[in-house]
Amino acid sequence: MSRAISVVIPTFNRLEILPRVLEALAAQTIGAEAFEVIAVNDGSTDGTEGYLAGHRAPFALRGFSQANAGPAAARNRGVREAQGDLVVFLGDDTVPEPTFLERHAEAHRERSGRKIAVLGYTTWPTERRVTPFLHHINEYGLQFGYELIGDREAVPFNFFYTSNISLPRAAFDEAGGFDTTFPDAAWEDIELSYRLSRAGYVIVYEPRAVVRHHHDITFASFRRRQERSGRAAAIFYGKHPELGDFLGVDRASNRPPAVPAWVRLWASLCEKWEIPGGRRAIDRVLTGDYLRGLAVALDAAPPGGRTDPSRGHGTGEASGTGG
Amino acid sequence: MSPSVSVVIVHLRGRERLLRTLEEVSRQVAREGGELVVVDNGSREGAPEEIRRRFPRARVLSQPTNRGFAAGCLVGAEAAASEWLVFLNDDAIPEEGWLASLREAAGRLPSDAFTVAGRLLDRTGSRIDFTDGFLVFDGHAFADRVGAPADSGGGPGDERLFACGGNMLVERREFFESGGFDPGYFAYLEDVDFGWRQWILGHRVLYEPRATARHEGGATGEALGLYNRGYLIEKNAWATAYKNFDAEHLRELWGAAATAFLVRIDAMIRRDPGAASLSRDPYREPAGAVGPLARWLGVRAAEDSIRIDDPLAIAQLRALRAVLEGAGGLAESRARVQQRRVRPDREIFARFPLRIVPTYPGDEIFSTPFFAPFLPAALPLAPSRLEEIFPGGA
Repeated sequence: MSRAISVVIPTFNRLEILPRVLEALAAQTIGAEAFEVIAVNDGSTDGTEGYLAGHRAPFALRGFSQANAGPAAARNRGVREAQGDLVVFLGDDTVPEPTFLERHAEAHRERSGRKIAVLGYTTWPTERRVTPFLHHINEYGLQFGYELIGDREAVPFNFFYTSNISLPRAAFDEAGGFDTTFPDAAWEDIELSYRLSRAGYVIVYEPRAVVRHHHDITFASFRRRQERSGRAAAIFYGKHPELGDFLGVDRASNRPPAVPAWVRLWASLCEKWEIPGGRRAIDRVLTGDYLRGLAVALDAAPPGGRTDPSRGHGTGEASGTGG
Repeated sequence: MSPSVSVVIVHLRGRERLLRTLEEVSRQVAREGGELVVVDNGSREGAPEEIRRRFPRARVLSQPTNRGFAAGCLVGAEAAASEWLVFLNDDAIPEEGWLASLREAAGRLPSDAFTVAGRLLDRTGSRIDFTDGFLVFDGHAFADRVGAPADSGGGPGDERLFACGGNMLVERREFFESGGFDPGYFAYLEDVDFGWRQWILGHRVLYEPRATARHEGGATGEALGLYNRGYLIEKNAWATAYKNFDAEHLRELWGAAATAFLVRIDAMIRRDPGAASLSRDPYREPAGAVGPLARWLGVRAAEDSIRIDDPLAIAQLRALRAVLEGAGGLAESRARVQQRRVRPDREIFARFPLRIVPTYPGDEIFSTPFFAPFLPAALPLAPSRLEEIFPGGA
């Protein structure tokens, strides 16, 4: 039997949290018969495959395994297997609230006939203390940028966060799915979104469709992520050179001076001691990391064709140009 | 078919106002096609990053320092990819249909017009901020009927001497061929200079009231302060008059303009306690005069000294200095404009009468018999009062 909604979850070595994601899906306010869940195990080595095979859920759960190929390929696979008309992308470490699917379905129903994707709100778990650093990267565009959204009915293409977004399967197919030349979770989502926007699709923000992000992020880990994001941005630029300004290509090409050591120190202290006023320093350091990654990638061989042996999935997070 | 446009917005201060403007502009640009170019003139509130995050399609051209509005517009125009440019103030929020109206107007322009003046209203949308403007005999210019009801500013296709640089459309090729905004102006009156030049070159500037934006009010202008703003306006008024008046007008009007300047300076300094000694009777002994015995003992008389604090007076004098220091360049600019002149000023001012408007301290002299000989009998000036120009209050 075909169901209206297909929830697609790509996963890589997240067995410590994936069961909670599935539990939360079992507790959705819409009936279990209304949706299916497609989990694509992207070459995990922590027993995810066995877990998925043995898991019993009230909804239709289908697990697929593939050799590690990155989140873009895993999501494409998930959509290929999906039977629903509406695809909802969810991260493997983002636990949805009970009304999550109801809100997504409702948002599409209320706007039927319009070409839209619906973006939900990804935030931190209630039990987690949200430091100024975590708040900042979640709300102001480094990881997510919810506070920057002006018109909820016309959100720009760079707010396509695959931890919590839904779109008609036909739209995904029309745009051609994710580009698998992006090696890991950086920019592959925004790049698809850009193609969708050019095909006339608009992102609508529904903040009541909430998922909670269980991921330990530190300043140091986020800095490494920013550099990876910079490298992936070069692939994006190769495909869409008209977005050079947005991606920061000029700034990277001009070899901006290294961020001074004292700014780096101040930024890390701001994170560690939870100093609220450190936003600008943190932005500066993280932007520097991003631009450095981008500059290296622009200098290297023409964009495309790189591979990365450890393709983590993160949460399908967005890739801001950074600070 | 309506042509594509590049909207160029120059930003210096007032990040929140800019973001409100971009919110609406980016929506209209997305609908109408074209591009959005933001020139960041060295702002310090982090606008470029926020723009990149919130408006990913916008092109942000970050300048290391403030190069002024005119040069900022040139940078944006240079980078723009479309056939038509739209300049919009960073604190002017377009009303629905603004960009569509400008594009339509561009598509309808007759062969002798390349510039469309949009309409600026106040923040409530009920009163005029700019719908028309006029030139004064000394190179100053005013927006006309500021504060009057919004719909009383004329109809589509009406001729204008100039478009306000805060909301206008111009063909990109023509903008550069005709010299664009003069970067030496930095800010203020570059739009008047450009519009007048369009008429000098035989072109026209036309009005489109449906291209409306609501002007929130100048964060940049306010931050400049009385001195800097006054300086720029005075300097650019001199430059505008000197560059653009044809030989007849320059000859006939320069005496009045120079006299007005002298009278204003005197009136402004008169208010300045530090310049009190200028009023001293030159035939009387100074108050600090010393007698012969004291002189023999080496006591010296106090000398007259002047200390000017009045910001308007300082702005006037500083502007004069800048004009004189740039005299060579101004002469070249004047030669370039006059060489390309197609239409005499008489014809231009027959359509847009030159005015005489008492504005500054000292301007009461305009209506005295003393000033009358400076006013050219053959070139009539239309007298206006500030209350007529600002019916809603200045």
